[in-house]
Amino acid sequence: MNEHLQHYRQGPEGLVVRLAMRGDRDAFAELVRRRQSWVRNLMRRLCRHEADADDLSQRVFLKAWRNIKSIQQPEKFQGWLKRLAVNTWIDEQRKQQRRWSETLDEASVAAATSDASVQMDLDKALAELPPAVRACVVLSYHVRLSHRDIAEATGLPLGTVKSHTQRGAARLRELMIGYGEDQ
Amino acid sequence: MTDERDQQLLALFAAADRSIADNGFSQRVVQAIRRRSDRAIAIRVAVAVAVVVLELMLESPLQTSLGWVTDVLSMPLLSVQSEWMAYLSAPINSVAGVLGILLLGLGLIYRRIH
Repeated sequence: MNEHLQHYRQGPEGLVVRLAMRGDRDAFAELVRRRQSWVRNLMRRLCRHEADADDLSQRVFLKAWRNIKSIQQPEKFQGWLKRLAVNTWIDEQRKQQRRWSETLDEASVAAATSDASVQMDLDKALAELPPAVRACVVLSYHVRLSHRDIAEATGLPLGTVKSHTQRGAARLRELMIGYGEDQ
Repeated sequence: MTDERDQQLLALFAAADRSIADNGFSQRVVQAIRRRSDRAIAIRVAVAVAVVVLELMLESPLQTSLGWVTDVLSMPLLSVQSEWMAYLSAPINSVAGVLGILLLGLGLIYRRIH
């Protein structure tokens, strides 16, 4: 490995971000290496398919490269990337003209639990939730956005976001019964 | 109802936050960036070549237009008799000067708002 790449690996993130902001592709590659896992985890939880999730993750980093010069505080790169990732996913939903039902579809959530006794990992359990509910739960528990921020980002009414998050979380707990005990 | 989160579920999300192996992902991103950058350079070169070719073929339409725009921008708004006063006031006593001040004002308003 080149010596400067070794330095990037050990360098503080703020410094690597500053180098990337000057157009240093190696520095940006280091940022991708450091953050790819978080972004791909998020996208896998939001999308049902791994391939789609990785495509979207790639798009997030391409957007990040295009807009990296607009970062005001390089030390807060992680937060900036988080917002970019969420916005990229939401833009994708809008492009696909996904119309989220504003009311929780009780039937579809209940039907998803036909084999709740089987141990499921979190991603599989999330995949069982309807898209709008899954989005609210992931944005609340994975990204840790407030209900207000989720409502703003998704365009769903605040009350809907609250009920989706609460009831989605309750369903997730049911789906995950036994998971915690065996850990 | 508040933003309070279920602690068990929060712990579950944190525990399930496994590290995903890179497996060439970073490399693919960097390659995509390189491809896009190469494409952008190719487009700029193609546009520049097309402009030069058109200039040569169509009796310099771009140069003529630029000359016309320069004439309009440097046109004085008020006639000043004294030659040195005319030179001195040219930055503001011209279409370009007014446009510049207008753009500066808009920039300041934009910065105030955001």
